[in-house]
Amino acid sequence: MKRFKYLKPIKSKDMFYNEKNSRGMRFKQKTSNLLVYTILTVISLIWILPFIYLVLQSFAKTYSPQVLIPTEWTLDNYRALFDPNFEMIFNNQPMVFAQVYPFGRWLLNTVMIALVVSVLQTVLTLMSAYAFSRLNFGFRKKYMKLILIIGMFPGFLGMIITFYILKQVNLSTGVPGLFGLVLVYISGSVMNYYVSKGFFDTISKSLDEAAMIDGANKNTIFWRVIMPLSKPIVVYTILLAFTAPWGDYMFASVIAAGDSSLFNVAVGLQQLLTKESGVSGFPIFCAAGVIVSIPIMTLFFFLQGYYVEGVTGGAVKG
Amino acid sequence: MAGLRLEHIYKVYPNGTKAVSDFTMDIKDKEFIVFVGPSGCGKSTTLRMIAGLEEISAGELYIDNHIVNDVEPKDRDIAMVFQNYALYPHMTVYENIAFGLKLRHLPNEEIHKKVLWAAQVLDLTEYLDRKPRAMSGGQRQRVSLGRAIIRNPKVMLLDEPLSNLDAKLRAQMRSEIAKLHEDLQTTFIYVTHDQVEAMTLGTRVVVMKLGKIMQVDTPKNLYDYPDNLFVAGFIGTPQMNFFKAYLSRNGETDKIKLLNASSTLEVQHSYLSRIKPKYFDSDNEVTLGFRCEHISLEKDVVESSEHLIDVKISHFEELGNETLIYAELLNNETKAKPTNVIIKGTSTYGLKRGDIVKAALNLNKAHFFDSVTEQTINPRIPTTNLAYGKVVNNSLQLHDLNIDLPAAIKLVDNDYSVIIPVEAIKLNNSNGVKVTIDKVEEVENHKIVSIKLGDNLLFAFAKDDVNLDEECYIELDYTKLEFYIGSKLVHKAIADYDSVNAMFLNHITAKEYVGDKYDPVVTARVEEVETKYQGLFKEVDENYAKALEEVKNVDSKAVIEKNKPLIKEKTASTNNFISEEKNKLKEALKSLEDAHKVNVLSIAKEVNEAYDSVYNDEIESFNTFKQINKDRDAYSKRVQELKQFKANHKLEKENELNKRLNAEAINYETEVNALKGNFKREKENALNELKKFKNDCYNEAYPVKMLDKEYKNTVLALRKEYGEALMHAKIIFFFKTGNLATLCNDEISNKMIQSLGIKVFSKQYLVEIPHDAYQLSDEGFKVQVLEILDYGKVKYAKCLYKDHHYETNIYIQIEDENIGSELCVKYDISRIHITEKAMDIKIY
Repeated sequence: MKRFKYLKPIKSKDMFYNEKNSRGMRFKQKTSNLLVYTILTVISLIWILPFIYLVLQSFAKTYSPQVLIPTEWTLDNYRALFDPNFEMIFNNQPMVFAQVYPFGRWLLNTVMIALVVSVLQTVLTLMSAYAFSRLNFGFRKKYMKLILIIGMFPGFLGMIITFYILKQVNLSTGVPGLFGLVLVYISGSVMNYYVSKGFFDTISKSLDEAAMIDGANKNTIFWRVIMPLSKPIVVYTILLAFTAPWGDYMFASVIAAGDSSLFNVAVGLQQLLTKESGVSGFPIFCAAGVIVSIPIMTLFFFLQGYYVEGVTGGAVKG
Repeated sequence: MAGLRLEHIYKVYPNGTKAVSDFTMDIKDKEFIVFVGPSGCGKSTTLRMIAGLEEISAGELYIDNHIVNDVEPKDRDIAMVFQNYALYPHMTVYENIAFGLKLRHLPNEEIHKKVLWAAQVLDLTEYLDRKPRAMSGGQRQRVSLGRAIIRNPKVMLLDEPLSNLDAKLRAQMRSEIAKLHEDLQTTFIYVTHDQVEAMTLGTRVVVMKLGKIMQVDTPKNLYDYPDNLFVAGFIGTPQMNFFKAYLSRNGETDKIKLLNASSTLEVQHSYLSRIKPKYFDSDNEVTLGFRCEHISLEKDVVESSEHLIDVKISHFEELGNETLIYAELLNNETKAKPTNVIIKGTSTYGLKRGDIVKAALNLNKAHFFDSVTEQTINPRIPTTNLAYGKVVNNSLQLHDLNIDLPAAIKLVDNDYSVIIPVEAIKLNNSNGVKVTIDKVEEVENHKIVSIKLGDNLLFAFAKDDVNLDEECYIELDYTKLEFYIGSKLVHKAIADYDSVNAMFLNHITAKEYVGDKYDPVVTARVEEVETKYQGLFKEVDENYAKALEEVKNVDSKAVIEKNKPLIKEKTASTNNFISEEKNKLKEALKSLEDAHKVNVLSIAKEVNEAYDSVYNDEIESFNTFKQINKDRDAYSKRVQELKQFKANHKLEKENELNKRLNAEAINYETEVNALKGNFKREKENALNELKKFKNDCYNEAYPVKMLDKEYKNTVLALRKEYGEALMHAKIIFFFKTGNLATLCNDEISNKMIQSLGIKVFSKQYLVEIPHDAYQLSDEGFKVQVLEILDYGKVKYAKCLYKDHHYETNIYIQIEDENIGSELCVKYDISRIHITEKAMDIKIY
């Protein structure tokens, strides 16, 4: 469709129906469409309601759980998150919120970790998937099954052991702890090989062979032949690799060990809700939630436009 | 451009299936070889093994006399064309063709020149900036060919390149490939399942079935002289006619009794002269083959022919220039399924379905096959003779010849049938018995002489100087004769080789049998390598020192000062050039885009206007109709029509629009690609030039550094080579037969390791030893002498060899008869043949 971007496509609905049956068919089609869209609307409302609630509450001056639309509107919640000199009444006491809860620092931690992880993990995942798809080595199939089985255990089962290992190499606390965190996140990259392997399997092997005869080694084939054809799966892997550390709570809290300068947003926000009694922090929490979800949404909006179809068009018989 | 040699190539999959077995072939330079066969016959696998895409399980592949088994595909200097084209979809045609050269880091100008050349050869010049998806199948395959020819490879491999094309394109591409082969003068190997392609393209054709070679020959010979039933049936459309039959010999004439047919043919002896006598009894069914053009219904041919069969016409296929007449063999006796016959004729001869007519067989063109083994029994080059004779007083009487048999052949006086291999008859001018030559034929490289002795016809190979009706002498190699009484074997020939079991051992395992005896051998090998490489190292050092002396006095700083402004100037000019080009590109792209927008809109407008006017006309005509018409039925019919028109009109309009927009989009994209590609090339060229200039400047300033680097690399490579050579020198291998371990030469060791890898030590081998390769020696294995066989010129000791598990007879060629009852023998390892037993892989 990219070619016709200067022109709106002409809609050709109902064009293929037989003239005789058209009225009955059209009626049936319309009712079933109506039903489907009603169900979809209800479901999407249920899905989106919490988010709308979150967005609206982030602008509320005082929190009242019973009302959806706040009575008093303010931007102070957002300001409190970032402005280190902004004083506000919190739990009936005046305090400078950004100094107690350094949200900016948390966000920075998270962004850095997520970026590094998404790049490294994408590379590792795709490379291992390519290896599983194309290379022939001993125990390949058994190894693939083993990884699938290991992947079924929740990650936190090995958390204690992982933590002790990190402790041995001095990557468990402080700023090095963040590197440790990156290490932990990317160490499981190979686990995600399955979808990308499936994609690589659909790319004709004779492309690899042609490149091999043209003089390419495995590395060149991967970067110059396979990667340009795999944009959709690269995007998918990047999204996956970015969101996992972005929302991780469990291991991040272990590494931070209470040091608020090492929190990521998930740990920080959780602290924000439980540490202080009462609900006066809730609007600020909502504001932080909105800010946290923005990067993910932007990422998704920009990258979703890649289509699988048509990418391999013309490569093989067609 | 090079020849290929495939020696005992096998492809065995882990589950034990043999995809290719014992593929041995010599391919000469500039040949066009076609592999043909039904699917699953291993032809593609063989091609992929040649390409290096598939590992060779056993055997050796030589390209240009270099073994390439372990060479990467890219270093074999081959090019391949795939069935599904395998073009890189994200690259333009230009980039697709240039990819291989780019990876080999050729200068850009040269790549550009070559791409243009390839495009011109294949008529692709105007498509260079298109992407593969905007091209048709034939064009894509041409791009794929271009990618292959651009590197000027030693061997071109084509894997069913035309299978995905439609019939017309296929014929066109076929002639293009043939032309390409003429132009390029390169070795082509072409895989196909289409026999028309095989026959029209190949200089030689390899017919394969179930992984085995059935026949290798020129297309004409395949058609005229098929070696077996499979080739006979596979090559040629329509298929060859096959008749089951029994042969019998009866005085002056031979009889061919066709099964399921009422007719029996009486033929002259000469037609069946090459067929072994064993097929003239009722036990051996044979299959007769006739091509459809060798059976005739032409009136004068039928009248003059003596070999007629009755057929019942079933139907006709008229192909314009010829007619195929389908018929059945007339069968009065049994109710079995009738045998079908296809006859080629010039017309239907006024026949109709159900007619019974006589058809003439051209027996000169008949093919005879054994129905069980499916091999031809009427070979062009005969292998064995069968003669009927009498033995009286240990002298063989063949018609009027008397041949004295040697002492080793002890036979009672009786009538015998004797099998004499063609090779066992040696013609000469002085020794042996005198005969007269009846016929001399030349087939391929052999001169075949026939000698008639009463009922017996003997074939022998002759040297050049033989003439018809000349008298000459024959000598027989008595070791190869076999005597039968009836069908009972009385005297057996001695095989060319003795077979014994053997194991392959390394030096350490072999120490159990040989002790430390071979340690000095290893030391000597190591010393040899050491002295060789010490000399090489010294040479490199000396060269380095000499070169260093020359450049010692270069003043680096002065040179750098001198070059600095030059580099600056060059960098600036390059950057300027690139940014200028970039601007130009931007402008050009902008104007292109604008033009494209305008075009799209104008197309939309045109289409809309055209279709709107049609639409308006229709509505207008409907309105007029509505006004004048009074008939309700006609009116409702017209309404229906209008509805139909409306729906169709929309669809048609959309189709037209899509079609035109697509064409416009492809044009636009091609133009954009062309601009971008040009810019990219210009930019790369400029940057490369700059880089090279900088490098040159650096090297000029610091020649010592460059020398050092070069020296280090050379030494490193040499050291690696030295290490490998040393490792090879230290390892020696043995073949163990009985308690004898024989040292292998390097050639055999390499082949063994090459073929079987690490499994080489755990396998059992069959070693075939020629009789004269034995030597008497105290270190050998023990055999027990059973008897001495005196064959006149040569004497053999028939011995019993016992291993742990089995015993076998071996025949040792000896000079002296008095050798005692027990011998110790060893053998010359360079003359043996080696076969792996479990998978039956011929190694050496």
